[in-house]
Amino acid sequence: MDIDKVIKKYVPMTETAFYILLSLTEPRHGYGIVKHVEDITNGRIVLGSGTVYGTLTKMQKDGIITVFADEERKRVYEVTETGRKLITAEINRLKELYQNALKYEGDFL
Amino acid sequence: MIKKICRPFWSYDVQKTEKWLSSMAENGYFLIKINRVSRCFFFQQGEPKKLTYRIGFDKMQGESLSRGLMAEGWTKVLRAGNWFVTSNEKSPEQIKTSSVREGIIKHNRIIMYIFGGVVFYFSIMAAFYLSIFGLILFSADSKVEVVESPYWIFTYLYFGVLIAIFILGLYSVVKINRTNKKLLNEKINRDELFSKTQGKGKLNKAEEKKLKRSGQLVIKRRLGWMYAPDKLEQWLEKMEEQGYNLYRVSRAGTTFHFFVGHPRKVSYCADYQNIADESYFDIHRDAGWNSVFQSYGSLQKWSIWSREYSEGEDRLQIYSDKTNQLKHARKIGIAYTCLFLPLIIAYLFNIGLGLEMISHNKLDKLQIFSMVIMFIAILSFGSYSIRTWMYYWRLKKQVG
Repeated sequence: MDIDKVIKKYVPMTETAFYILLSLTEPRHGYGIVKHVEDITNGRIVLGSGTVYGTLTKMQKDGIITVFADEERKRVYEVTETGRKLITAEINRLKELYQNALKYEGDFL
Repeated sequence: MIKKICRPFWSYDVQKTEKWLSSMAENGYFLIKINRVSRCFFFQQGEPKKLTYRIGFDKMQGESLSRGLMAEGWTKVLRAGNWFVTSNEKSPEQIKTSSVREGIIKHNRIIMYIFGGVVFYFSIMAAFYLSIFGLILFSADSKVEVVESPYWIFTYLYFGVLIAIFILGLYSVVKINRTNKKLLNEKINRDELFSKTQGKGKLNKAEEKKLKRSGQLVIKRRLGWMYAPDKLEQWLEKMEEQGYNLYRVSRAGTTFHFFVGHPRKVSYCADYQNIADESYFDIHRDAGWNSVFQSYGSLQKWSIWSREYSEGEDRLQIYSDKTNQLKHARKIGIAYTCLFLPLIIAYLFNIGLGLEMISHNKLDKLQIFSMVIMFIAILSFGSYSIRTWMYYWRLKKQVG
């Protein structure tokens, strides 16, 4: 899939998909992703393993992530170039969202 | 200088092909190209070198390898369709990360099923024609006369081709089955270790019988739970709350054995996957789920997962978001509809024909009986499909 199609399909991302992709700052195991997301959200989000597996499988099919096997022959997930572009595009969208939230937040108080 | 070697069945045993490529490199021949149609490998001659090769299959491969593999010293030698070949100057013992095998296993499995179907079809046809042929040959009042003709060559050719396809099919099925087992075995050692530490000493048949008689082991049957997995989950959870602890599920997945123990809070999840993937089990086990049941088939796969939780905690689920939860339910609905709908249509068609014949008074008792059977089959297949969609709607209403 080329990057335009990927962005069209994924942006805006669901919270689940966003955090799964965001946790791939380094290659991780499936369950490593669950733990990392739990850590960075201070336990607010505990992803189900079925959800993570389903999302990763879909992302792999779309070329956003890729896999390799580690020494225990276990699967490790890594973000691809397409995936990097996707998360950057999503982060830029969220930045705009955040800046506008700050800008107009006072009017509602 | 370029050397060309053909290996028609290289992809059936990739481990062997990888070793062969390494030995070629040791003799100074380096792979530069694979022609997938002619099944030929092309080598360039150079300084002999020790190289480790690894073959992979991935539909979504980029131009370059992933960073994790490049950091390990892997380079991509070539790409041929969805296949790719990587090489590494380190010896196999030194290498920690490598490309995954799942793509090859899945791809070869599909080829195996296709050839399996061909072999099955040919066997049925052969049995059918041979029995007719035999009947004619051995019945007393028939005479078989063979007419001389130069065109017999076409008949022989035709049968020759059929036999060749049959042998090719049989070879493919056997070979791929063996390789896939070997490829899976690369990982199995770790899983065995796991089951040893996890598996609570299984009872043998005699011990089970004894416990059954004394009433400590209770057996319940549940047929067709696949069409409403949420009901099965609720039932199992209720049984646990009443002090019936699930001990094992039969291989067919319809008989449930419970120990009469103490009330527990356990959440159960019945999960369906179209193609069972080896990494699927890793993630659930790592997350703390116990595998209670795994169905036999490798194309359609049901698994039941369990996990105990304490009184104050929420009930755990393997799908934490509604998108994936609904997607899973829809997958079940689609899978069973695809399975049953063609049968239902074929039977409806048959019954339609039969009804027309009834109106002409041309049916005997046996034919009417078979029509009734078909009618019952339509009703039950239809109800199965409808039940899976009812499950989907129930879930949709529940999660909103």
